[in-house]
Amino acid sequence: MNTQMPRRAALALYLGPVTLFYLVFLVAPYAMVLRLSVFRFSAMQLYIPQFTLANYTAVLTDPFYLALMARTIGLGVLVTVISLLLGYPLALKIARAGPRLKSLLIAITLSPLLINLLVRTYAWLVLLGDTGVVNKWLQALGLTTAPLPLGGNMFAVVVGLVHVSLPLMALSLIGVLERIDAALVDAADSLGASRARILRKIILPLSLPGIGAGSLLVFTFTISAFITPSLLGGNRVSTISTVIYEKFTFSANWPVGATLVMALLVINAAVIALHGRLFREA
Amino acid sequence: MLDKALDILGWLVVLFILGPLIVIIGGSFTETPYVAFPPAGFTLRWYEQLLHRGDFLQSFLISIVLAVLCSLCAMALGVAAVIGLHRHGVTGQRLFRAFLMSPLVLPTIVTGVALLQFYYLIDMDAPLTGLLIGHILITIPYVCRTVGAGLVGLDPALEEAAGSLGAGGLRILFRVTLPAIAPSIMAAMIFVFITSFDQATVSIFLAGPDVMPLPVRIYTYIDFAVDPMVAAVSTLLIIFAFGLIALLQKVLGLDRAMGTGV
Amino acid sequence: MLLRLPTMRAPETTSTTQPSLAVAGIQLQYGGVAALQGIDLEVASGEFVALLGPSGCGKTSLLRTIAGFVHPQQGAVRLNGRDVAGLAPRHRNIGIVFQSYALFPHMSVLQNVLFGLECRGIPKSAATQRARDAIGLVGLSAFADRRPKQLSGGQQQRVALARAIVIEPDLLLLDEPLGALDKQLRVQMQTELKALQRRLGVTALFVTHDQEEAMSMADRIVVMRDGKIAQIDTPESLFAAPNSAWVCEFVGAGNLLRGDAASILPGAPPGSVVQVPFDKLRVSPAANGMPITGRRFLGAMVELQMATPGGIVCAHLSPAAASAFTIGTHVHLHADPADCRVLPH
Ligand SMILES: Nc1ncnc2c1ncn2[C@@H]1O[C@H](COP(=O)(O)OP(=O)(O)OP(=O)(O)O)[C@@H](O)[C@H]1O
Ligand SMILES: [Mg+2]
Repeated sequence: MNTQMPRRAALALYLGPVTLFYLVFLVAPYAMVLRLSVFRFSAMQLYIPQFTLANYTAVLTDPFYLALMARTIGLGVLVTVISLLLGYPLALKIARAGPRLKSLLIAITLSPLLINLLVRTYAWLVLLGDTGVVNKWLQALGLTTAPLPLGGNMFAVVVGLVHVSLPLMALSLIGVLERIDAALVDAADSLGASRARILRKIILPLSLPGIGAGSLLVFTFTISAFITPSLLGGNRVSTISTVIYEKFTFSANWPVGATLVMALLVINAAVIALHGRLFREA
Repeated sequence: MLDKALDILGWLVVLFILGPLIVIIGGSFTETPYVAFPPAGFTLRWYEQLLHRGDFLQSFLISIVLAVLCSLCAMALGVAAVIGLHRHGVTGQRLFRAFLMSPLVLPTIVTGVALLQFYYLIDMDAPLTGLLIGHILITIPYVCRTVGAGLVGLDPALEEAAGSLGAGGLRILFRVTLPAIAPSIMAAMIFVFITSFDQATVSIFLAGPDVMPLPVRIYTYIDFAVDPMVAAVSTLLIIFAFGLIALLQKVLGLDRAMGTGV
Repeated sequence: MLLRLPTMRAPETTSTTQPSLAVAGIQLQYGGVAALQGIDLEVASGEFVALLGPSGCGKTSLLRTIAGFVHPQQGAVRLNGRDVAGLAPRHRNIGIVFQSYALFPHMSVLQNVLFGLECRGIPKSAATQRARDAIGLVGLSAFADRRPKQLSGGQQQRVALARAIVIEPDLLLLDEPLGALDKQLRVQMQTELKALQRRLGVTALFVTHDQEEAMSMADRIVVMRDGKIAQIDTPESLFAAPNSAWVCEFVGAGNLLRGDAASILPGAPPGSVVQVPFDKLRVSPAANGMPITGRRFLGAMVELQMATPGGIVCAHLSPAAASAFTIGTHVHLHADPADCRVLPH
């Protein structure tokens, strides 16, 4: 491309602003958090700029934090697995549908992504509360007399997170399922494979990259989700994110909060690295 | 058999996705002081009540202003960056792209916390600016992805042809490149607008009592009361979202806009 | 267990034995658009039949109907005398070679070939032996552990063939199996494929839109046009006696003389179309004749082209005889009436 400007100057003009913006508002703040995590906590002045590893020792040995991390990872795994089990049939359905049904189903599947997260969370609050819609229905149908404890607990958090994660999972799966050559299914069929065998031996293995990508997306999203656990957990379900929020607001223990941030980042990076290893081929 | 079972499960999942939204919309017209579905009676009381809530109206305006400003800034920074990369390959191009995309990979709550303590440290006390910076940061990756994809799909011969006809770099940019990728730019703009308008996690850390975007307002409100008024707000937001979806569909086609297959 | 022994069954053309495949009155529509309009076809056991026709004439549709992937609105498909309506593809025991090969990309060559045997519940060791035999038969023993992506187009084609024959199908369907290969490899594979089919004695239906390929391989050729069968015949009869001008032109069975040009055949009904094989059209210099407009060297023959009012006609001459003619020479055309056929219009 022939430009009048020397290449360097042009590049600086194009890439300079965004680079500067990232350095000041992304790199610097993240570096500050890292710095904060090795400072001493002070009830009076948030923190004392004095190097210590005490926060890391606390997070890595205190049973409270260990359980917190285990619970967060467990929640991530659970939500990922459920999203996969529900998202797969949906994605299959979309991939096999005729053009008109397909665009309708895609629109339905993706629409939650464009609807405010608060609205979706609020819907589950309304549905799952003690006097919520679901309990009212169950009682009206005579299935239960006392309201079931559906809201304000881990169950509600899982339901809410699955609802939010499903589009992400389905999106990743639809992509790979649509790219599977229909002739492969015909070939397997003509060779004598049952529907179950075709699913197990052909479609499932060929959709592994989508399963991997979707799982990564959902898992990383879930372990760092804040709004959903905080509202649907009714202050009774804590995850790394809700505790980070608490440390940076009410209890104002920034150094420990910053250390939890580091823990969250490390878990994230580890999962991304694991995914990279498992799906190197793709 | 298996096909049938999978098919039914697929429909149940569709119901699971849509059900809660239907309950909210229906419940916003109930006469009961709690959300009932199917609604008991029909009233517009909750919508009317909303009109008298100055705080919600103010938050709505703040969210709109924020989303508009964020769209403009993120587009300017992001489009410049991808065009720069498109025109002048940089050594370490892949790394730089990863750097540009990083806010998408980093947990939003962490970005919120990082900005919160950073603002405190540099003693910045301007919540609207603070929010704007946070929103720009997390929306730039969307611009890079959508507009970047548009540039990849661009026929390089187009720019070369313009060049061979004697057009200079700037003329090619404004007369050829940008018009050619206008649909991606529009789509990215709408996408950024939605993302900013809906953004809650980062905003919760950066909002002040006087500068509270709508999602944060709803968050603080439903933390203590779940009444049908929020169902009314939600219904309006759902309508708003569907309007934007329709727009997006018109501009680019929904599945393409959402980048099926990420 | 070994593959069925090479039996060298001769194609049976007598209709006393039951046909391996019988298709009767097939009507197939895709959402109201007719793709097949009344197809009747019988294929004898061990016979090799080619389906020939222009793009979109319904060749693939017919194969897919026989395989059971699509269901005709009318008509019946019988395999070895049994009506297979309502029988899923997996229960028809038909081997298929797809144009794109449709090899499972996540499986090795061996696993691909094993797949059909596993579906039949054949014990692992016996299945492996049979699969290795089949892979050997197509000359790929050294590649058994490769993935399809690591093979050339011709090798992939052979894997597809091995996978289709290892299940000892009652019928082998091949949809333009050589379409993706380059010319040289194509010719080589034609020979190999034909030899293998005869060795195994398997009944085969082969789709192609290349008439040379159909001529060189098939026992009989089915010429299709617009969802109907235009003619079924052996290559020789098809070439010697096409039943319509369209078939004659499509298979390249000679010149079509229309109108005035047809007058070289005394007694031809007015307005009829006359078929004259290229090598039977004679030319003689004549100042008041028509000019030669083209001259091509074909190896054993030289082709002369003349523009007649009814279109271009060609005459094939020996190089010695052709030396007297150059472009621009004016000639008269003749043909021995015994070499001409009046075609139904
Ligand atoms: N799934 C389908 N839906 C609608 N129409 C179809 C479908 N498949 C084929 N057709 C139509 O049916 C007709 C026959 O198609 P078919 O694929 O059988 O042709 P073909 O002879 O195999 O052609 P080719 O040589 O190009 O492969 C065509 O007009 C085609 O457009
Ligand atoms: Mg075809």
